[in-house]
Amino acid sequence: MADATTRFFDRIGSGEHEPLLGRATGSLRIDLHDDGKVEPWRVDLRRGAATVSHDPGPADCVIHTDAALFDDLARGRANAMAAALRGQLQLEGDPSLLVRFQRLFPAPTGKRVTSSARTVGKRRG
Amino acid sequence: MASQVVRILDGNTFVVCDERGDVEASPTEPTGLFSFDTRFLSSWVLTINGQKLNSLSVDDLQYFQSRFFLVPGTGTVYIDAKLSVIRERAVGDGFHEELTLLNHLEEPVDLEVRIDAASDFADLFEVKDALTKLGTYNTRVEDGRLHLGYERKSFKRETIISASAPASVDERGLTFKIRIEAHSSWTTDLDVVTSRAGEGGTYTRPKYERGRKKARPNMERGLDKWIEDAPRLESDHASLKATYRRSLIDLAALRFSPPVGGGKSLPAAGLPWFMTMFGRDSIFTSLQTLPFTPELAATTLRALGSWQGSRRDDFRDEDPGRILHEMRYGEMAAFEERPHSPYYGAVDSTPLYVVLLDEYERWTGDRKLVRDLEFEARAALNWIDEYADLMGNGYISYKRRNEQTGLENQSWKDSWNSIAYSDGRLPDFPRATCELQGYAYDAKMRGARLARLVWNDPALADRLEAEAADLKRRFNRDFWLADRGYFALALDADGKSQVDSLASNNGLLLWSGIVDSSKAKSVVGHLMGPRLYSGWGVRTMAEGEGRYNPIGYHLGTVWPFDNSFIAWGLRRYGFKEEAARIASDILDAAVLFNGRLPEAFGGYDRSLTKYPVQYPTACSPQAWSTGAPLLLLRTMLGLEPIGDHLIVDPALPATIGHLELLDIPGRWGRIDAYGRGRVQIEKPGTTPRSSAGRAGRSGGQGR
Repeated sequence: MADATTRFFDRIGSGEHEPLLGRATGSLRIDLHDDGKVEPWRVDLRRGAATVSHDPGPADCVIHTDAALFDDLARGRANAMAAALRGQLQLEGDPSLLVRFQRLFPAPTGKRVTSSARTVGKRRG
Repeated sequence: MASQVVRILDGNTFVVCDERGDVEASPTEPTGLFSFDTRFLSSWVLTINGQKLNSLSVDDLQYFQSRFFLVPGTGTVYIDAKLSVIRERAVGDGFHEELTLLNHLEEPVDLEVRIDAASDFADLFEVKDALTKLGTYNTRVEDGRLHLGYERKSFKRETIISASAPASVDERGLTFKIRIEAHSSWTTDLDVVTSRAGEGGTYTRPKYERGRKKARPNMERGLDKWIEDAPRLESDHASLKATYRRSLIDLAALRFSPPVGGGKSLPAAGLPWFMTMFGRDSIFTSLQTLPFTPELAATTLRALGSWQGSRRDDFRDEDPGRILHEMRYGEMAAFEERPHSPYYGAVDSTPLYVVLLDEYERWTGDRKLVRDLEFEARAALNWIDEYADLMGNGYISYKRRNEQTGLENQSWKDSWNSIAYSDGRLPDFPRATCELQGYAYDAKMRGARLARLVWNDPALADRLEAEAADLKRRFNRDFWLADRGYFALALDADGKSQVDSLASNNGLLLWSGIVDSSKAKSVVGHLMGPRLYSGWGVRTMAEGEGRYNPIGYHLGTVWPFDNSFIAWGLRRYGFKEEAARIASDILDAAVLFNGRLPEAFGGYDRSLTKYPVQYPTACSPQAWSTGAPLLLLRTMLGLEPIGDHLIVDPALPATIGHLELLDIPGRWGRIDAYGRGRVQIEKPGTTPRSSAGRAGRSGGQGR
């Protein structure tokens, strides 16, 4: 399961400039919660170039989420902003860094894990 | 019945209530306390001894603050005022209400004061469409506070209500059993806090507290400072000054600080239902207000840049480089029942993003922002060619990929029947409306300027200019209706057939500069001619077209925003008198709306209706209508930044007389502009003369 997450961080942490990050600068720490354990991933952005580590120290923006949800994000099976609005992705610090960072997630593939039972737009009565 | 609706707001938190200050929401009454697109109170009713109150008056103290003067009684002619009630309410992270009762008798009174409170936690979309909820409600009393909660999986919203005076709190509200001595008063504070779990948006107190009347920090600047920092307008035309002041105040109310704004504000689209980031509305309003409040443009560019699309997502109609259409924060966006997290279904906001970036630099000289947003601007320019040319014919066109909840029409005329042939037929999708090609041309030309000036990429500049020249040449061939002398509204899905209705979009083409100068005179003749010109402004669609309707949303109404950009376009092609005429007529209309222009008004001929007929709309003020008088001031004074100078070339209607705009901010520091009205505007209902200029002499001086 963690494969997609690891592959995602390997891909983004090249230290090369990534146009999707523009000139973003700052640090994020993503704490992945799995069965009581917490695995921190740290992403340092310097003018649009990202490096990745497991440093658990303070960051400009700290995100808490389930490891399984992050895996879905890394596979393009969930959307980060919708997850944040649902409260599944909890945020401390500067939200603009998350908005930047979420651009690195891949395009949607396969079935949406968050699909709803409700018929969209259906009127009552 | 208390029917008058009162609205106060702070950012995207707002209260819509009746003139007593009560909230009693129903599917047809969209009242309540709203925040982040969720209703946090659907019921908030004050009674004294079981009776509702009568309203004597309402003071709108500020856009975030109201005061209600009430008396007991049943609404008969005679009101026995032995007791007065004052509710003073300030909105921010919920609201703070100060409730005061005054006993006018010479003896004490014993009263039961009751506040009934409830919330349905409806999503803004649900309020409009009357949908059922899927989550569960929970209510509890804890530490003397009433907690109203809603939960759907991890989605949690809570309203927390407390009072400063002793109260007995139950799950439906608060009761105060009080005695007020003779000629005395009693008071309590009521705090209502809106809480969203997990988004860093959880507060324990509302923004305002007793005695605190000034805007607290997350509003960057109070209203007084906001007005003080804007240019000062002097004119012997008193109603113009009033309109200008109204515009500045409304613009202050429309400021919205998005989570990615770093505490700074951009213009939201409209109050109260559209207090959110819209690509199109925020960009157009930023363009209109650049000479007055340039920081709105800077925040718009940064926030929209942060949210720029990065992948292909059919549900959100998202592409790499695309600028968003609309952002929402409610339950339906959270559970992906609506695509607004954010939704990207607009095709004009992306080229307009580059247009705004360049115009912003021309006014402010802020090259740092242009450098910071280089990748965003490049991605936007790339989107035009890589993702927007759906028909492969070299033009921007649109066809939604989200067929359930996406938008069909993705440029500014977004109603279902707005794009039509003269015979009333609707074209198929994709559709390439004409103004989109103008925006693409302008974006390439302006992108070229920035590439050369700031990004140090002359090769890109050369390429963009060559593409723009080619686009202009093709456009003037493919969209031009030679026998009628104007540009087609759109090309149909075959990529060739010209959708031949005459529409105001021709005016936006002038603004973009894509029109061959040899064709401009003919286009202007149509814009100012009797089929398009109502006497109050340019109609969205010309009289005589199959779908023409003077009160059809985009089928014949007059939109102040549209007209302000048409006036800018007329100036661009040298038609000063015609631009002055539009300014004069729209500003005349503004006076009749007490300085606050509506979104649109009826396209009836001015000689038929003494007053412009307002199009019924839920939103007022609306940002780009608020910005229209500001852009018209710019076009009347002929303000144009050239290098480090501001050129002033006034052409004012004679009715305005003398006009001074003092302390215009920009790369020059602050500068004053003067003009005197010399353009004779003919009587309403007639078309202006085509004879050339008696424009005012220019005058501008630096400091």
